[in-house]
Amino acid sequence: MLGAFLAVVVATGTTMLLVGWLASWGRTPDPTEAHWSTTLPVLGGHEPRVHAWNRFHARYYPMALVLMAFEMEMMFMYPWAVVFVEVGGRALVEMGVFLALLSLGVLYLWREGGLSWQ
Amino acid sequence: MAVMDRLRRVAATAPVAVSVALGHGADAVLADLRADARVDVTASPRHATVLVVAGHVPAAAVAALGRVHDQVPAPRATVVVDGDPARLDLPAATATTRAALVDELVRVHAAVVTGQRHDSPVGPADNPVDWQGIGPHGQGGEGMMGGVPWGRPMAMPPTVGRDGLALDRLALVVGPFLAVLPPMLEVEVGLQGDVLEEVELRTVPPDPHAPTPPPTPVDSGLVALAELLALVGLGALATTAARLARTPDRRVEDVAALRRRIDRPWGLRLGTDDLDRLDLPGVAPDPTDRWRDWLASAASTAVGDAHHAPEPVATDEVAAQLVGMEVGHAVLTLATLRPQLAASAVAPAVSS
Amino acid sequence: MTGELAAPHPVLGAVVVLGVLLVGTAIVTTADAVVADRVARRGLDLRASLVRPWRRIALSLVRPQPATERPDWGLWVLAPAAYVGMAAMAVSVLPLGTDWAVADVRTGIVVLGSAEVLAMVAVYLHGWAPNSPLSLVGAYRFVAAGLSFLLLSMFVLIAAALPAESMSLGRIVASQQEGAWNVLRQPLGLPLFLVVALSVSLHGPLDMADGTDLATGTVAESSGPARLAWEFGRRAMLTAYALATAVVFLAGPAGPVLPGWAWLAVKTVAVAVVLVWCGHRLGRIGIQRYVRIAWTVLLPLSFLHLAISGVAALA
Repeated sequence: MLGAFLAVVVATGTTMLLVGWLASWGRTPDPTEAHWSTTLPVLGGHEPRVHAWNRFHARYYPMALVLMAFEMEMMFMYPWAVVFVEVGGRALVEMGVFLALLSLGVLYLWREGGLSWQ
Repeated sequence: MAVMDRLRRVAATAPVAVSVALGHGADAVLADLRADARVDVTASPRHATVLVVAGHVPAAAVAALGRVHDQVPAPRATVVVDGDPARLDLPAATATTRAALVDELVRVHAAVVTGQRHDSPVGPADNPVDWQGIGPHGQGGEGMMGGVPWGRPMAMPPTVGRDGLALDRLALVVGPFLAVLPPMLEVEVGLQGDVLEEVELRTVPPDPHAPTPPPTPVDSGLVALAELLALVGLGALATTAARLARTPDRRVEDVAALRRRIDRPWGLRLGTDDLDRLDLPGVAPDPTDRWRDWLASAASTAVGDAHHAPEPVATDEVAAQLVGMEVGHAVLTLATLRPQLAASAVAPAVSS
Repeated sequence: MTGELAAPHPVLGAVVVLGVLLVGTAIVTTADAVVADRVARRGLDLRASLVRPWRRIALSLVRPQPATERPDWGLWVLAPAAYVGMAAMAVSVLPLGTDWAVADVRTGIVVLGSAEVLAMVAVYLHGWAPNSPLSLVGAYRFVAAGLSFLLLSMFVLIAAALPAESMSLGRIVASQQEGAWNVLRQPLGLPLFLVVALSVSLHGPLDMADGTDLATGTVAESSGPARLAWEFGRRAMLTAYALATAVVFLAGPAGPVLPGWAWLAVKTVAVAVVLVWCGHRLGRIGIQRYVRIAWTVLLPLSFLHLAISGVAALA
């Protein structure tokens, strides 16, 4: 089993190294050495007034919180899936109740307009 | 290096990656480029090898043109269609005519790729403002927003935000040569996150003594449709629309065939059905109806009816409607107003 | 068959994974060019359709990567590397032939899920790194989409694990050979998973990060080999998800006469061509509509899918 994960790591790592090499090919290490007027961000002709990096107002923040609840629940679902057939109909009902409870969160999110940008 | 030389020779035969800087009245050139398989029209100048300048570029937009020119990665070249490179402050540019454009582009592209041509940047080599950031990434100073890297501040929260939240507002002016916006349109936005909080819209007007352009030989509605299709990622269908736009004796069946392919819930409407409705005089409120109008007009001119010029819209009224939209929605909304905005650039409408 | 998979030496495995991604990307690129020319009705010059993408790649290789004013170089290089790396991670746990995978991980679907989440991070970093407004908007827009499609993919993969009684992808294939293919006994799963495939590989109607409406978003400031690396990533990811679709819903290597890997290749290419075709005929959906549909239509559908799959597994 550990050997299997070693194979995953080797394959992922090799690929990352090769693609990283391709992506860094021909980059100027120091942006300040580049001709300045060529370094302005693509805005169609104007210089930006401020840096692009900023504390971004992510409108989907409430959605991210509801997702978090589901992600927690996912941890229970993996073992549940493995023993599902063994346990039988009771497992189906139990997970149904669990998901129904979590769905209330989605309903609340939707009612509060958490899925809209306005 | 032999490998690089071989690569260059193959690259010289690739479709010409073109960034198009559009002045006033350049629809015909844009349709030519979109329709031709030897050319790839790019959405960002960073993806181009050649910059094409088409139409009338007013003196007020020449500085912006220089910045876009410099954003095309070096080595680069510029081709000016039916214009004077010296007037545009691009002395190294090649001048050509619309008829000879694509052949010229193929030649210039090969010269650039094989290292025989490189137009120098026209902007300043050094930042006019000294590096003032603290730390190698300007991350120093007080908290995350402390540095003033490049004399350019970090975005700061407005005193009163639209949502009453103290999050940063990104103040930007985009255009007049941003390929995703209608030509000669400048949008000054205050962005909070990806929502337009404040919008000011202006078109760069033609120079006072500019020669009146001849009537455009292409169907402007279909050119606008091609641009809209490209914006929702349907580049292949956009070439079809562009080809149809420049066919002088369009058949009404061809227009109907194009409409059948795009006017379906899973076609172009997947991108436009959900846009906000607009309340503007002389403009269809429904976004999908706006491009259906272009197809209807192309169909009616194909059977010989007179072409109805679009009514200009007041840019401040359009700007008011964009407030609160997400960036992508705003871009698509402006694309559906392309004919009206082109009309108001020449003859501005007064807000009602 | 038991679902136990043999594995080659890890180094050989890495070569195989890279080979799968490269060949898959070549096929996706070719299919994309042919479909694009068919949709554009450019005439039937097949040779031109086949040659054009390779010339574009040559062009990318000889173009430079320009600097922006103050980029984050490290992340700008890491992002495409990590994105392709996650495609490689997904491929490494998928069966690539009858009784054979690069890594027989018993928790295969968990690895698939992790690859997806980390790929989301890579896309976000790619938009963050250049310090450019349009790229940044693309990055955040993608995160909104990512938070919406994540649950779909999890539920679909868990549903596939029910009849297999295991999280191993080898067992999932074996259970489809013992019973019916998942595309039949879990009918909602395939369309839901195709939504995930298009979203995570930034393709067509669900390409929220690199849309042309943002002047190509996260990739707007890239050129040359760096851009090539990113575009390779998108197609490698499409390949990985087409492969995963073939394994999870179409019983992967199962089929008569031909060897297992050949059947897997045929099914994967078929799925990839469908995805590419969608990209040329379906307009890009707005982000708000995407999020709304994902949470109010697709998420309930995925619950229903789980219920159907559960009942079918017990029957």
